Amino acid sequence: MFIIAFFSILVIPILHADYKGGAKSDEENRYLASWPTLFSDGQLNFKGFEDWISDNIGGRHRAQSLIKTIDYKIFGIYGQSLTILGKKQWLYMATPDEYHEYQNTNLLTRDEADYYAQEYEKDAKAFKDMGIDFYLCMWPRKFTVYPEYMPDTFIRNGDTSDFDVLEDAFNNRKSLEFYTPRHILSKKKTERLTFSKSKDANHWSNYGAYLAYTGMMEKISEKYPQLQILQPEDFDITEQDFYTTTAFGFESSEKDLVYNLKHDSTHSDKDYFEKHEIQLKDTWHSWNYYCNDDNSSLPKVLIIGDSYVWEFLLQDISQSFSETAFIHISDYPQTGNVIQVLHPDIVICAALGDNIEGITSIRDYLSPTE
Amino acid sequence: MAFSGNVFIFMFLPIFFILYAALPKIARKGWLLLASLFFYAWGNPSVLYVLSVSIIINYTGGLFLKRFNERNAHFLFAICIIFNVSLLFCLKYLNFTISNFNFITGQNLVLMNIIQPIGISFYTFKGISYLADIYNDKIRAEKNLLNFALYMSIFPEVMEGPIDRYGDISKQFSNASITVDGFVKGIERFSIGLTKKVLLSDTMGVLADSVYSIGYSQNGSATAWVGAIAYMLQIYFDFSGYTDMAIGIGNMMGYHFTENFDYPYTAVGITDFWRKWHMSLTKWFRDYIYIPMGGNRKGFGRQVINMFVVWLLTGFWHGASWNFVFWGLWNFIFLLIEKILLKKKKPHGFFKIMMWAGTMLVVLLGWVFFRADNLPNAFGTIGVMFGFIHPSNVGFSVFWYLNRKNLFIMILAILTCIPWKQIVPQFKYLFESITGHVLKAVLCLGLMCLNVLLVMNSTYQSFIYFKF
Repeated sequence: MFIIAFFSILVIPILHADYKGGAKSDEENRYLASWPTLFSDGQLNFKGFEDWISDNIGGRHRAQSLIKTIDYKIFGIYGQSLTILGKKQWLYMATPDEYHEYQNTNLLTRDEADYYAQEYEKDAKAFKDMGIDFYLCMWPRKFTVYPEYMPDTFIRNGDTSDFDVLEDAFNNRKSLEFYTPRHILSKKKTERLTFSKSKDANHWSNYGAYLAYTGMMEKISEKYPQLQILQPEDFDITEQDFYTTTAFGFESSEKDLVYNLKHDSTHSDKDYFEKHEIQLKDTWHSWNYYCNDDNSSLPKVLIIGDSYVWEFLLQDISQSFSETAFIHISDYPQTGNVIQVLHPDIVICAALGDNIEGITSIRDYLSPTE
Repeated sequence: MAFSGNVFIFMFLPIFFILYAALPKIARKGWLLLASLFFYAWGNPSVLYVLSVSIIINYTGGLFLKRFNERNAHFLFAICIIFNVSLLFCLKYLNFTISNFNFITGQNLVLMNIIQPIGISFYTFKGISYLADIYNDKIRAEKNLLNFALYMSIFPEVMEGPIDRYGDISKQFSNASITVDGFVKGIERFSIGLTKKVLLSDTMGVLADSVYSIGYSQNGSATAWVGAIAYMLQIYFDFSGYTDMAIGIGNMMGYHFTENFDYPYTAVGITDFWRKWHMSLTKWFRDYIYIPMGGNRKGFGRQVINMFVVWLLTGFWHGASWNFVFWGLWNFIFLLIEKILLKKKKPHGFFKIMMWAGTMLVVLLGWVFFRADNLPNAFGTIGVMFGFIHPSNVGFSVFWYLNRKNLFIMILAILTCIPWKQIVPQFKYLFESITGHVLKAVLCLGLMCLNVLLVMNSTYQSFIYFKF
C-alpha cells in the first residue's frame, strides 16, 4: 500500500497533465509551453520537453495557489512576483534592479544626470529643426510619492534620490521643455489617493492620472493656447470603492474617482500603423491612433510613452488634438517612420524615470527606416 | 536531469521502476545501464562521448593491468592514470590554466570553448580507484563490460556520487534484488532527501543568493552572517539531500551505496568534520593520495607535505578557481593546528562545546570562501561580518532577508542537522515499533506530497555539486 501510494503521488500529476499545452496563464501573464517538437534548432528538444512538463503537469495551478496561500497567511509573503507588500496593505511593484530608486543606493551622479539632460536637449533641438516641439514628461514611481508605506526592511539612504537628481538636471536645461507631476501628486495626496493603494501595484489612481494629465496639458498649452484641457465638467465623475482580493487571501479596499468622458470626439484606429507599414513590436500591443472628428485644425501629437500613458491618459489627451498617435517607448526606433506619416506638431516623450534614461538619442531615429 | 526536477520525479522515476520491477532479473542490469546513460545524456547527449571514452579506457586498462610483467604494469597503470587526469584537466582546468598563464605572462591565449560534463570529477575518481585497486591486488579486473559500465554510469551516483569502490559495488550486481523492505526503506530515504533539497536547501539557497548578489560592501554585518549561515545550510542539505536520494533509489533497486554524511555539523574539530562530510571523497584522497605518498609513516615533516598536497588537490577538485584552492588550504591549516595542539586528545565537557563552536566557525568561514565569486569578495564578506569593513549604501535590513518564512526554514534546517535518534533514544524505539512504522509511512507520504507541491511551484533548481 505504501509503495502504491508513493507511486500514485508521482504518477497522478502526469496522468492529469495538459498534453496539448499552450494555454494562457493570466496569473503568470504568459502562454504556457505547448507540446514540444522532437527537435529544435537541429538538436533534440530537451528544453522544450522540460518546459512543457513544468508548465502543464496536473495540479500545478492548485499547487502554486496552495503554496501562495500558505506563504501569505502564515508568513506574510505576497504571492506575486515583483510586488512588495508594504504597510497597511499597500502594494508596490518594482524589479530588484529598481529598488535602488527608493533606497537611494548607487545614486546617479550629477554628471550622469547632466548627460541624460544634455541628450534630451539635443533631441529637442533636432525636433525643432524639423519644426516639431518636443516635450519630456517624467513620471514618478509610487514609492517616490508614497514612501511612507514601504516596508521598514527597505532602508533609505539619505534624502536625495535618482529622481531628484534627474529632475534637477532636466529643469536646468533651458532649451528642454520638461514636466513632472511629482509635486502635484505629492501635494494632493492629502486629499485623495493619487496612486492606487493596492488595486494597481504600479500605477497612479484615476485621480492621480487626471492631475498628471492636467499638469502636462497646461505645460503644452503655454505654447499652444488653442488646446482645450478637459475640465471636471467634461466628465461624469463618481467615487467608487475598489476591492482587491487575491486567490491566496490578500484583501484590501480603497476609494478612487471614476472619470467617464461625457463626449468622446475621437475614434481610434489600432490598425493605423499597420496600414502605413510601420512595424511595431511592443509586447503589450499598446500602440494606438486617434482621430478627432470635431476639430481637424488642432495640432497633431505623437506620444512615445509607457503604461502610465496608454492605460490612463491617452483617450483624454486625444480630445485636445486633431490626430494623436501613441507608440510604446520600446518602439521608439520607429519614431521617424511615424513622423513621416503623421507629420506631428508635437512629440511628447512620457515615461518613468528609469525608462527615460533608456531612450536618449531619439534624434538618431528621426529619419524614416526600412 | 536533476533528481528534484519535474522530468525525473514524474516521468523518469516511475517509468524506470515500473520496467525495472517488471523485467526479469537477468535483464535488469541492461535496463539500468540504458536508463543511466539516458539520464546522463539528458540535456546534452554529447557528454556521453566523454563518459564512454572514460569507461572504455578504464575497462581496457583494468583488463590488461595484471597481464603484463611488473614493469609494464607500472607503465600501463601510469598511462591510465595520466589519461584520467588529462581528461579531467582538459575538460575542467584547461581554461583556468590558460587564464592564469595569460595573467602571469601577459600573453593573450584564447580560451577554449569547453563545456564541462556534469559529474566528470566523480566518475573520473571512480575510474582511478578501480585501476588502483586492481594494481594493488585489492580486486580483480572486471571482464564484463556491462558491469563496469554500470559501475561508472549508474544514474543515482553519476552526477554527485557517492564515490563507491568497485569492490563494494561489483558484489551487488549479481545479488541485487528488489525486496519490499528494501523498497520501503528506499522510498523513506528518497523522500527525506527530496525534502532536504526542495524545502531546506532551495529556500536557504534563495536566501544566500539574495545576500551574495548584492556586493559585500552594501550588506550589513548581520546580513553577511545570515548569508553565510544560509549557504552553510544550503550546501549541506543540497548535497546530503542528493546523497539520500541516491542511496534511497539504490535501496529501491536492491543496491547499497556508501554513506556520505554523518551529521557533519555536530563535529568537534575539523578532523572530525572531515570524517563526517563527503566521506567517500575524504576516503578516496586518503586511500589513493595520502597513504601512497606515505601518510604519517615517514615523519611529521613529510606528513605535513602529504596533507598539504591532499588539501590542495581537494580544493582544486571542487573547482577551477583560486577561492576553492584557498578553501582547501584553509582546511589544511586547521587540520594541522589540531594535529599539533590536540595530538589525538579527545575534548570533554565545556572544552568540547567550545571546540564544537570553534569548528563550526571555521567551517562557516570556509564556506564563505567556497561560495564567493572570488577571493577578494570572500575576504570582503568576512571583513563585513567581523566589522573590519564598514558597509555603505545598505539597502535592506537583515529582516528583509530573514523574513518569517526564511527564519522558520532556517530554524528547521538547524534542527535537522542534529542526530535526534542518537540524542533521544526514544525516537529510535518509537519508529521501530509497529505504530512507528505506520507513523513513518504517513510522514513519508506527507513529505512526498509536500515535495511534489514544492517541485511544481519551484523555480530554483540546480544542485550545487553538479559543478564538480
